[in-house]
Amino acid sequence: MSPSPAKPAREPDVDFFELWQEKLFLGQEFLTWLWLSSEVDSRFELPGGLIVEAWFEKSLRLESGFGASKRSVACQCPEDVEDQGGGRPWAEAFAAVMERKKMSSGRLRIKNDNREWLLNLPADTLTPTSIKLVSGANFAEDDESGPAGQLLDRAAVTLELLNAVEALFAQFLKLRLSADWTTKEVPRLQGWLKKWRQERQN
Amino acid sequence: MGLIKGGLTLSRYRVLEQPQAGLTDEYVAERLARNAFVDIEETMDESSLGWAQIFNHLGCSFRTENFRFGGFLAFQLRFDERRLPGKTLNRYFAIALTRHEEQAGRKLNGVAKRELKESLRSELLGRSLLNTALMEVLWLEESGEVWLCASGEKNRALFEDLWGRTFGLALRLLVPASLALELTAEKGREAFLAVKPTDFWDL
Repeated sequence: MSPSPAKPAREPDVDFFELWQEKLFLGQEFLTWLWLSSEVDSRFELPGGLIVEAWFEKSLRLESGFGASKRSVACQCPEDVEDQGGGRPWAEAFAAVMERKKMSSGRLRIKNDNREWLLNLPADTLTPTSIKLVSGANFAEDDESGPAGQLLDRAAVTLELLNAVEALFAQFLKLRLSADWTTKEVPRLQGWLKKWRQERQN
Repeated sequence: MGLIKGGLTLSRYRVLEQPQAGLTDEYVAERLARNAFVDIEETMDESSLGWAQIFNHLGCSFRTENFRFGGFLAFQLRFDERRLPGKTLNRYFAIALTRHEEQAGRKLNGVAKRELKESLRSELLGRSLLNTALMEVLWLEESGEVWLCASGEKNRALFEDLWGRTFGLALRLLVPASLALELTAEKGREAFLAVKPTDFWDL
């Protein structure tokens, strides 16, 4: 199993580093979309019949601007705090979104039928860090197959996680590059944000 | 933190080229051996960068059974470095300079000062302990992907340097832009290259 099949080298017509920097916003928009979407419904039906649940917990970081004008805010959501006075958790993060900040990283919990992981997901690389397999390990640290068996098991489980993250990004990208982004998806999230703001004001 | 135990942190790369003679075990073993880690414990060298076995960072000989695991190739990057903080060097230099000038009965000129500082730096580096950094590397043959079990620009630069010297095969870091290039077909790619930021939270 692999998060993506072997792919031929396809050189874009632009310098890769420039392209990476120019499209950094795409990772930020993906995380912001994933967070807001998961607040509406944490269940994602992905291509190929893959179904995952994903939501952010404990911490989010949002930022705006670049270089010297960059402003960032770290938002905490303690596990035992369901309501932070604004009617919902993440009140500080929602306020930051309304100040046009975008997510730069967050602690994501992700589940499929078999397993559950916790990981940090940074917007600049979209490659998980501090990955912890919370449940679904069908191997022990002192597996009889020895270190080679553990390596193969952990690699397979990590591939499963990357597959899920990449499928979520592919779902976002398909939406983001289609006309539905501005006509359906953005209004859907805006409507939800407006509702949240009204609830907070009441 | 890595593939074997504990939490896992990754950087992902796509291998954009294949070895001319194919990715054989002989090719991998020979390239790894040529760039194996060299111990600098007994030398005055400041740093050493090279490959070690995946399950034994002291083992620097490579045979199929210690780097091939099914469709995966696994090894470890090892980087040993002697560090000398600037403040420490300056403190020792001030002491040595005073002593030299007292003995000589005159001020040292700029060239002599630089020579003294360089000699002192070599001496202090030789006395300092080595710091060892280990990063696991997994090459997924089928998908042409490489995982570096570390993040951050400095770690990635060390890996990219050693990878380039060892295999010389072009790599591309997997980030939103490169993932999007791979996930989009020709028409979608044009849309991706043209896409601009959205203020979808602009209420």
